[in-house]
Amino acid sequence: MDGAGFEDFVSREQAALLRLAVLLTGDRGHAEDLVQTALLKSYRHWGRITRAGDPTAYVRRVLVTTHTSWRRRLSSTEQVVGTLPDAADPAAPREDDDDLRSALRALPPRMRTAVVLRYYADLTERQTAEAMGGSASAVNTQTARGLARLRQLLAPPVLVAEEHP
Amino acid sequence: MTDDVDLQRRLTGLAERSAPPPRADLADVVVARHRARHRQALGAAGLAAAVAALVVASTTLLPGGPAAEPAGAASVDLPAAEPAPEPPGVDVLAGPARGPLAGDAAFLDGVRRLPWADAGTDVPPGSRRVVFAGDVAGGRWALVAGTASGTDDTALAWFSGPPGAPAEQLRPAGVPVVVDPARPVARADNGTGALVVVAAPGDAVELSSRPDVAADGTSSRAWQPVDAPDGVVVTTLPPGAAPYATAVRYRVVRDGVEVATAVPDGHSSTAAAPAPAAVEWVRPQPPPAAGDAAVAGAVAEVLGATGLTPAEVTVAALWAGDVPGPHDRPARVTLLAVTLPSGAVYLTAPFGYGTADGSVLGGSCGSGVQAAGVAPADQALVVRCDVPDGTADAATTSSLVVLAPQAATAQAVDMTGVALTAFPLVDGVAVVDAPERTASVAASADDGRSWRLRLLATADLG
Repeated sequence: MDGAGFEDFVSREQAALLRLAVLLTGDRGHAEDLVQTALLKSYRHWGRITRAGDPTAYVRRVLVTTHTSWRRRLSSTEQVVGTLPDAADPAAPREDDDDLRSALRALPPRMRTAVVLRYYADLTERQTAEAMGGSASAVNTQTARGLARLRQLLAPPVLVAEEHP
Repeated sequence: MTDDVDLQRRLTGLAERSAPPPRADLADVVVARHRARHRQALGAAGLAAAVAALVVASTTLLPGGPAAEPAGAASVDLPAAEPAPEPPGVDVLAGPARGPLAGDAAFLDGVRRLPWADAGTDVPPGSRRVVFAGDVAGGRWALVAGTASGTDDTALAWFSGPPGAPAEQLRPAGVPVVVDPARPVARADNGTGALVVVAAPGDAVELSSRPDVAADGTSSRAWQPVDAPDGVVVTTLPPGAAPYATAVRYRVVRDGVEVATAVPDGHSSTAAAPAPAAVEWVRPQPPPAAGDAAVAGAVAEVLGATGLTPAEVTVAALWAGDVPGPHDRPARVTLLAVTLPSGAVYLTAPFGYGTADGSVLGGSCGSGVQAAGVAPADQALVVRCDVPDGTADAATTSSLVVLAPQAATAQAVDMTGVALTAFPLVDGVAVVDAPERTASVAASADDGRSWRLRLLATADLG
């Protein structure tokens, strides 16, 4: 097993994996666990993975499928689960982040995953489908519905603050 | 959110500001965990081999006994198979420009020079080619493809402008995305009804404007063939009632084989919100709450998914009430029954609650489609509402909302049929803490009648 290659990969890709994981899980602690679990699963087959080419796509897929399986265990239905964390630097809150965080956590998990992979990770529909273990058509539908819901949530005045006694 | 560029920028910013910091020893930690598990696995394999040896010995000693199974290796927690190579396909983006403006060389040259609004995808101008250019309902669109710098990836960007606009007046209409060049692409404006589909020359294209939901609750679609000269469709659909409709599908058939069925990338050039649908209350309406704001969004989502107008549906609020929310703040749940033209009923259960900063957080407890024939006052349903608290510890408050008008008691039941908890219904309604493994609810009336209610999941209209 090429330990040096694995170490280099982790050093190079860790930050990107953590950024993806935090959008998927909505939680910094879970993001760290998820990245570590995905790397552990990948390390078991590291030699085979690296012989097949750049391991980035493989590890990302493991990360997504691991996340999805956690979600499936947590809930038998596509309910709203999970939240997104507060900003890493509480001293510098971003109103944009708060709005997007609220909107993302209102999406069902697979819908959120599809949107994040397509619009954050920049994957194609087919790559997203492979990462999620579904069809490209399903990804297309989930992404479209996710975007529609995000737009509704983020475009005022669909959800506006109201004061009630 | 104004457009896809904005979404990508904001997702990137949120990820960068929210991700935990990398740890220098992560590779060492992973390797150490692997070695520890490997030792455990070897121990388990050794034990399994010893047990297998005993079994072999036993079956050898007992003529006619079952053949011994070979001792298996310790199980390996293997993730999904390695990513399969993408099958070769026709590059739908190849060839000369297509569309009504394909012959305008000066215009195409101007489109190629347009800046791409993207921080992360560098597509050198030399690699760019115009795939489509033409006038559509309410505007002028162009689709440009290129190769992302340093890769073999194909990236796409749409540009749009007012009708008849020169190239320099076009602006990026969405975030550039890396695509599979074998998959057709499409873009729709739900405000004007404009739709462009780009497939390969020779492909047949069909459109379905919305699903047909039958009285029995099943969905189907009527497909209309459309002209697709050079594999390109430019058409106008009836503008949708919802600004972000997801009802439309396009289907591409090549050599008799369906190669794609998908929702066009949608947006709306108009900011008009759908006309609010009147809501009929079946039971007494509770006092107003901040979370009531989620109802309008839920109705708009039903209209968007079905392609119907507010005049074509009736919306009944079956029940609304509060469930426990985060930080001792209640969340308002509303059970809605949207009756479609066939009589089938789209059930949906939005929730919302006011947060400390004065905003409202909303979400869905589930949705589904039910056959016609049940009056709103008699509708029975169960939803599980997982209300997130929005903090870093990700605490979720889970409640079961049961509406069974004729029932007096109910039991939460897991997938194996084991009862998890029993509770009474008051006026046919109960809100209880959701047992983790709840799969359905068995409700009973005092006269012995009973019902099995499945939890609503997510409606899928195809």
